[in-house]
Amino acid sequence: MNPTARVDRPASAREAALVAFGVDGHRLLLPQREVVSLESALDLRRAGIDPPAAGLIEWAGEDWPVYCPSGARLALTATIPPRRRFCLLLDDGRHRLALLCDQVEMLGAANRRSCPVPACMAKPDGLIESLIVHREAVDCLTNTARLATFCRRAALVESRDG
Amino acid sequence: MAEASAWLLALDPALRAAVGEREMVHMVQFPVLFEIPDAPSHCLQVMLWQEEIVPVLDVAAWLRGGRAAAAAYPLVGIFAYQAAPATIAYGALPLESAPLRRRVSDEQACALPEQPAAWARIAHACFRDGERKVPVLNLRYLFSDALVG
Repeated sequence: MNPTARVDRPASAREAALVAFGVDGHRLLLPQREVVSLESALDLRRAGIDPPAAGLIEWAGEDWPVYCPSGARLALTATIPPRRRFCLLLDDGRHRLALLCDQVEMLGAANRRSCPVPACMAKPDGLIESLIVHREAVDCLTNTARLATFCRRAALVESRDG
Repeated sequence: MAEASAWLLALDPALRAAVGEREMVHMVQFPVLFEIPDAPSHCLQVMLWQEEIVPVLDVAAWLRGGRAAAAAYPLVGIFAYQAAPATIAYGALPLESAPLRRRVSDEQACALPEQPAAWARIAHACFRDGERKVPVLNLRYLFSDALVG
């Protein structure tokens, strides 16, 4: 084995580079390695949308479903508020989706403390993977798999409730 | 006749509950709260207390089947409970006013209030304080995953 060929990924959010994105006052963190591109919301194609997706975006020759979380509960909506200017394209190797958001910020490596979501708040397959403490603030870490599950759950509710 | 000390908690203008004297460890006025998306509707926020992440659980909202206030709470109590052997954990409850101390004797024991019916899930005892029935909160159960979903 060539020892120089192996590059270990950071084991936790403590060292990992993260992306912060904002939606209606919520701020969520994602591992930077799952973000494949940042596009403009203006490039969204709205024809033939399949709710709860808000549209499609073409990237690397493929159409990606685009979701638009909104409001206090981050409910998925097909009505895109004007402040959603960015489209984050996410891929973890198993799930692929795009999210509209208001703000995006790249966060460098920092001394962050990762804590589990308290038991009384932790839904099975919930959106939040862990809580990150940094400089007297608490942020929520999610990932592409959890976002995909969140969108799938919203689609089930959409089809059930019409 | 056995006696114990308890804190009487105002969970909202009408609902009262109690905890053991040693279970309440602190009170915080106007705490800085952080909202957690996709959390249960009765427990939407956490706060930092002594470098611990502490969930803020709105018992009144859960009992009434409602949603916790999205706005800031003016007062929360911090409560300690044994989450596992040799493990102390902390949870916070929004309070309407400062807790009152009570001496409680065995003679005051009574049945839980019939309404809200969900008291039976989260209280492990009840005592009478004047005309009022006061359920004693089971903090370990309350802050476990039992009420999620």
